[in-house]
Amino acid sequence: MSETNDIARLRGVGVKLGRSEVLRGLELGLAPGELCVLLGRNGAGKTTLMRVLAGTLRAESGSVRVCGADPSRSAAARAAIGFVPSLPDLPPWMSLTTAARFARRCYPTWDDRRLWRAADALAVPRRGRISKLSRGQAAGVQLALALAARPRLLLLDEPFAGLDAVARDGLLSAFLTEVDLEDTATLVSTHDLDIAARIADRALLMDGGALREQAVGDAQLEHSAAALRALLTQTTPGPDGAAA
Amino acid sequence: MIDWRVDTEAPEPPSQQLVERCLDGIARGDLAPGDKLPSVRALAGLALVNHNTVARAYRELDLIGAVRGEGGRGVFVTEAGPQIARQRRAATTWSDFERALETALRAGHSIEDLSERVRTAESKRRPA
Repeated sequence: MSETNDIARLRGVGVKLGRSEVLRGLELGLAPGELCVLLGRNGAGKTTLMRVLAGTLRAESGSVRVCGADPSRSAAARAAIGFVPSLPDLPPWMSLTTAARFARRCYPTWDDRRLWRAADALAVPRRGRISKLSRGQAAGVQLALALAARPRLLLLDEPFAGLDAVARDGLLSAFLTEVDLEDTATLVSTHDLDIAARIADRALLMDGGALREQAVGDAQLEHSAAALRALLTQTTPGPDGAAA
Repeated sequence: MIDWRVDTEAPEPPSQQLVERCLDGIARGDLAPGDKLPSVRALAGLALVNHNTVARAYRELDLIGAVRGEGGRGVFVTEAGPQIARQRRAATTWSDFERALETALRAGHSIEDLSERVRTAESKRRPA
């Protein structure tokens, strides 16, 4: 995929949190139609990378471009990004309907039909307060909102963490049915190697603040959980899981 | 009903597993000529794999002639589908059968016992 088509491009990105260098000289291009999975040990910097891409954390060095602009400075770039954080970050009193009323104003590409279709597929109640929902349903609310925004860059940070097996499969199935892969670059971080092997067009491995990519030959376009596990074993855990 | 869910611990890549599931379904008659396969999106949700993996499996099935994509209408089992599927399955079926036979003979079962088993299995399959 040529670089000019990339929806997101990071060049030489460095981020320090306190004294520790969480990202260093990081290079990444994400093209439309790609579903990339971000793997790495605790503290490897996965969430930091997600936040840099989402524009909620500014890189200290290097350049970050999403649809041609720096998302930490450009509202237009942020409006092209759908972000599902690892823990729901919506006020607990909101319902999907009230949250959508706020989100709708932020995204020019917002699509209500898409919202309700995704909500049905995710089995999310339209009016129940988020505080009253199960963990899987709360994750579903965030995902439905992100899909309704029709983002060019869709970021999912550990969306399946902490879910029981049934909730996990339900969320995964609805995500795979509803996501628009064609025009969107999707990045999903996860510790779940079964999920990674299922969904990854590209498997990116975070190690020591930089990215490695599993070499994929012509014959082997897909990943096996065992191969990903072997790769992950070769990496080192980060200095501080809580910070990164 | 076809169980579409792929196994990520299996040595075959997910798209290849989907190809095999489809061929099994066609060979068994669960999917008949003219039957429509699930849409790429729907199958992605059932198999828990991404769209590109399903599309890759459908391209492979199209290439060997078992299914045909008809523009925006969907993907359908071809007239030749069952024959193609059975031929593709035959090789695997025979090698599995021969391996089982080998094991049975090594374990000391007689040819007569085994033939009797085959006949019993076949009569059970036939509708009464």
